Amino acid sequence: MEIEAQLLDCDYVVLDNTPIVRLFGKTKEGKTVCGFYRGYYPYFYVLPKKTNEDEVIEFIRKNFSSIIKNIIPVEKYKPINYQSKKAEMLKVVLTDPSKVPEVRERIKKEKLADGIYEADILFKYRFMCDMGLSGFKWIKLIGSASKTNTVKTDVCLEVDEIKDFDRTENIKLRYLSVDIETISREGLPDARKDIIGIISLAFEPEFNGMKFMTLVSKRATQKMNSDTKTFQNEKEMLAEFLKVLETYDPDIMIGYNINGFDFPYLLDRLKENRLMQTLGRCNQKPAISRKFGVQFRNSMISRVIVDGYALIKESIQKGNLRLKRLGLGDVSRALLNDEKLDIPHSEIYSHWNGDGQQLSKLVEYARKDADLSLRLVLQNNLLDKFFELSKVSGILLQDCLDGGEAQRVEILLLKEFNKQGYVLPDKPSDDKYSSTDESQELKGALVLDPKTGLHTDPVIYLDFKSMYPSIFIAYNICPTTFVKEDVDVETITTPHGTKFVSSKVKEGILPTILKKLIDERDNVRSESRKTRNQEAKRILEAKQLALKIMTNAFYGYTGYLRARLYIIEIAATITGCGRYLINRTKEVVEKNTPYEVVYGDTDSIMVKINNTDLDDASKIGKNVEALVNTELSGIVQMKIESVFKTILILSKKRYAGLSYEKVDDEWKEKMVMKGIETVRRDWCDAATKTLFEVLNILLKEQNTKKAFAYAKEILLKLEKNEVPIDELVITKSISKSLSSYKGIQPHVELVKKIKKRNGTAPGVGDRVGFVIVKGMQLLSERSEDPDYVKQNNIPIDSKYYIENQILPPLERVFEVIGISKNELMGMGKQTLLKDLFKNNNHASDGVKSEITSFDGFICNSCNKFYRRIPMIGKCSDCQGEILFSHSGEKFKNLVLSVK
Amino acid sequence: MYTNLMDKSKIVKFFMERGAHVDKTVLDIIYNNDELFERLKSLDRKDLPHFITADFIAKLQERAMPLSEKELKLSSKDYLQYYIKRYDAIKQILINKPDLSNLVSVNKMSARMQKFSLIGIVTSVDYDTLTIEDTTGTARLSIDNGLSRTLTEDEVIGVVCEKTGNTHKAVKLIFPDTPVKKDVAKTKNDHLCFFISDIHMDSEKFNLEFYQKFLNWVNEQIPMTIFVLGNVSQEPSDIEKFIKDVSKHSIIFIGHDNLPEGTKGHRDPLVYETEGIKIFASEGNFLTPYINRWSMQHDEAVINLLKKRHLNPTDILNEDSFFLKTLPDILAFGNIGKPSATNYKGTTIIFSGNFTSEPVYRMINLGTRETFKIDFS
Repeated sequence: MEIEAQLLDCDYVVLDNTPIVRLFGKTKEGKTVCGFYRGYYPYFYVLPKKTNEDEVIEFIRKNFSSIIKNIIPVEKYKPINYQSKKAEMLKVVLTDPSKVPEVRERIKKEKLADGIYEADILFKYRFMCDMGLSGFKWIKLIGSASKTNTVKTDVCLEVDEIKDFDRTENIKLRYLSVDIETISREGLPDARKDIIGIISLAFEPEFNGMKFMTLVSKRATQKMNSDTKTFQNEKEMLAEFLKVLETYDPDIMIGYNINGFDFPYLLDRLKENRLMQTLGRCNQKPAISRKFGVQFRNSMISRVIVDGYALIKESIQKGNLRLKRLGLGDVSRALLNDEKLDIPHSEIYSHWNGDGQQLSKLVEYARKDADLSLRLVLQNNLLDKFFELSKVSGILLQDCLDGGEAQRVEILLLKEFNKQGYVLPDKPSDDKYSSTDESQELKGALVLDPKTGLHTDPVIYLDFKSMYPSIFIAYNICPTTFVKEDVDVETITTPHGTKFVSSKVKEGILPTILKKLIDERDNVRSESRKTRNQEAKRILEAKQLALKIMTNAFYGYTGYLRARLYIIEIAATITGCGRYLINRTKEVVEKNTPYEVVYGDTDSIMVKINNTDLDDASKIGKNVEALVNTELSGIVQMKIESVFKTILILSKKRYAGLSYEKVDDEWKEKMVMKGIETVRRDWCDAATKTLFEVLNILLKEQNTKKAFAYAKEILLKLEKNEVPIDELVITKSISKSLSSYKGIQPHVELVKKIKKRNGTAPGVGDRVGFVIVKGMQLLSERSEDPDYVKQNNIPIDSKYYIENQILPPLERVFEVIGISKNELMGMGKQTLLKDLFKNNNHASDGVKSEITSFDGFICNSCNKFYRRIPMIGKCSDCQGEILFSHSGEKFKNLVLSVK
Repeated sequence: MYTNLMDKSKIVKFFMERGAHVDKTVLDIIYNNDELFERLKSLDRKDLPHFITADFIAKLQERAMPLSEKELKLSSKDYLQYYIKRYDAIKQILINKPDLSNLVSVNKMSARMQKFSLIGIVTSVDYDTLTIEDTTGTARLSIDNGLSRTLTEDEVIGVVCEKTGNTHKAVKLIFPDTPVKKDVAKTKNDHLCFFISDIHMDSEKFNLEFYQKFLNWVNEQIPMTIFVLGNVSQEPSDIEKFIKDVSKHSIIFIGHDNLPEGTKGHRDPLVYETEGIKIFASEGNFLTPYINRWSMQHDEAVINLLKKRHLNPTDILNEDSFFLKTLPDILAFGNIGKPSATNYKGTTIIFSGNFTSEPVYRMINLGTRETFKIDFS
């Protein structure tokens, strides 16, 4: 029997003291498969102390006779430093994977070995590497059909042979989105006592003609939708959920924060109701939920759990998405142009216990959540990258989603190391990790001091193509080629001073892997350009991105303290070479051309061209590119990426520019922003909008005065209360009970106010929007509900918004452009941006210019009075500006007569 | 570029040696403007702020073409610089005190800390609470009244703190204090200084007999320096007469604003130096609030202030006069309480009498540092 299936999961069971590997997959026709492979055993390597080999063999056989299958002398290269000869090691083969740690630790304790290798590789990956298998790749299982009730798959077979092969298309996966609503009176729900009221499910493809199904753990008094099922109690509802799960048999379970909440809670409630937790395709192993610090790692056999929240967060961290808030409603609004239904978290309990109509509304609310979670992942193709990463790295899809970069790199390394006769070290132990000299800090990449300001001449942006991987390859950098002492073979000395054996003597394993990844990426890109099939194109794009991610992961891995191959000298060599290359590039450009390098960061530089034409700038850029590549020949290649028509550089890693890239012979414009605060959560929309518009004017129109006038206009509008209140709303979430908050915070104070006013108020988990109104109290006490402000015509504290929301980001921008030397030296009154926006004598905010005596100091924002100016130079409550106070009035300056 | 860096580092060093730091932006400005640099160099150390900012430079430019020659314009930030200067100066003295172990700044305080020390400027002192600040924040400490009794706002102290329950308590206060003067400063030759005050020639209670005795005595003395520590008379004509009466001596008027034309007066207080001897002379009115607050005798109050190294902590604008960077050899005050002469660690403290009831005054020979009590009753 031969079955082709895409690999979803791999694990093992032990039967009669023998491990049986299980491979779970799905065929093109949609049939689920489980292949059982027998006859594969776990093993690791021991490097005995010299003349000690027999003693080691004897010790192991004597102490672990029941679990040792075999001890075989082998020859292997040690993993670190160049060696011309292999070392004599022992391959220790066991019958039970779970016993490997015990044997390993005992050998260590008895100090019998100079080294122990690959004794902490997970058995499933040991198997997959030795069999040449990769996660989510297609495999051909050759064997004979078998019957068992231990797994829930359509087909089972006893596997004799496994082969993996390439196929671009993926199987048609079955997605199930799950969202639960728990019923708790107040505060965070407690799985020990608070029931799940509703489980809402969304299916793709449909389940028995249904897109949705909502399960409710109580009987309703009024008729519900046809896809809503009600039950007597929670237990009955959960039992139905398990039935649906088994019948629909999804490959992927999706939720928004499913890992952090829904899944662990579901498992706990199944336990409380004494129902089985075997949610995967195995009838024996239950689903697992483990807490690591503040995070959960959840898994089940042969089904992958996908958390939409984690994917969105990752996208934001990588700079692929810009979103202020990560709530399902906010993300749906931004990415799907759709909304959650409006029931505040704190009102779920009242809706649950309310009349039929309220319950109906709650059911709709739950259904919408499941729907949004599913669409978020599918419509934005958030999983594409992970499918391909799983294939490229070799790790299973679930581990690809949950695990870190290190794991992805290590499986690739294990394959290649073993192929070339090398062993991999174990991961550093906690002792070794904590004793690692952290003062041995890795000096990072070079960031050149930028020429800050608004550059209105074109600036070409050049970057090194795959700089770090190129450095690995150019200098043959690898733990296996690393030379610490003198050797009798040809070596290369890097600009950092470290030595590696030349590739003519031995090609390093890391450079070998990197070359393969880079070449494959080039092929995939070329294929993608040729193909017209949109689906294939999408997969190829995802593949090339996965290859890029893997290629760039190697440098970080070598500098990661917990990596098997953590060698600080190698990581330092990479960054050292990078710094050398950037400095050298700058030197080359500035010595050989009339142009100036205005900025450089890690693997890119920006060169200012004194020319106004994009085409000419691009041509010059090509010349610069050629010049640099000649000087650095054989190491890295530089390429012109784009031309900035205008760029505003604020500081290191902070700039905004109007970038032009040639696509199909046409210039495509794009606004590029790095490190500029356009999406800070504690800003109101007016602040974000104003900054964005100012940058827009500066970059597109290069008109400083207009940008300044625009900013002033907004500030004047604010002073006159002409900015819509909705644009002034600041939102913060209530993350714990009010009594747990230390100190006074505006959103907490507002919730207390609302509670007093209305009886009910937002609760834990809700986001609270507030505005700051005028008054004499502390700032935090002047937070108010925007609707209440509108209804009661309460004046906004425009000074607060000006000083604390609008001005700070603008000041940073105008500081680099608006204050010329002449202005600074000759017009002292305009040294502060605040002064630019105020009338000197009688500003409309009530601050006067001068006084000859005073009775104290006062905060210009919150009006707190001080006998003496605070030593920190600003208000200790709200960080506002401190002015002189006299008879309740505020003054900027004190004028004294000098006798 | 290398040359530029060297020159700029020289500028930075120049100001650092004078207790000032140059803002990065300002460094470029100064580097490119010789005139500005010269102007800054010409300022006294006391006129340099802790941080030379663009704001300061702009104001300096304004002051070069000032509002009027006799006016000084300060922003609150300028005002703060005065306090920071004081804080820094006294901190340098306190930082070497062995009692201040485990010294932290306010922002580094944590609830877990069992014992630590702070250096701060006193913001407020209540019955059982002490609030002090440094440039990183404000700390509120509990304190026994006995310990806080001799404190005043705006002095800079060191505080040894211990955790009690959930709060921290100030268990010991460390003052900068004054070192004992090992060598008593003297002039090469005899130099008589006489300290007189509160003549009150225009008062009904003015005792002419006392005054006559004074005149008889003073005119028998060899020429000396007479320090007039306020309150001769409201009438300029009386002051003219006084000047005539003691014309053989040199007179230094302190704190008089009604002197006859051509007569030089000095602001109160005056720091007078001659041959290495420093005399702090004042009417002494500024001492009254301290005397009342602490319920101390006037000379005890002055000693308490000497321990703080600052004679008038709540006055920031006359910092140069009141902050005792180097200690005076003699402190002389007008009539605050009973006339007296005391010594604290080698510093002579004199209080004058008055010509209405208690005409007792002191004369000091700077050549021998002998103090003579002269009673004109």
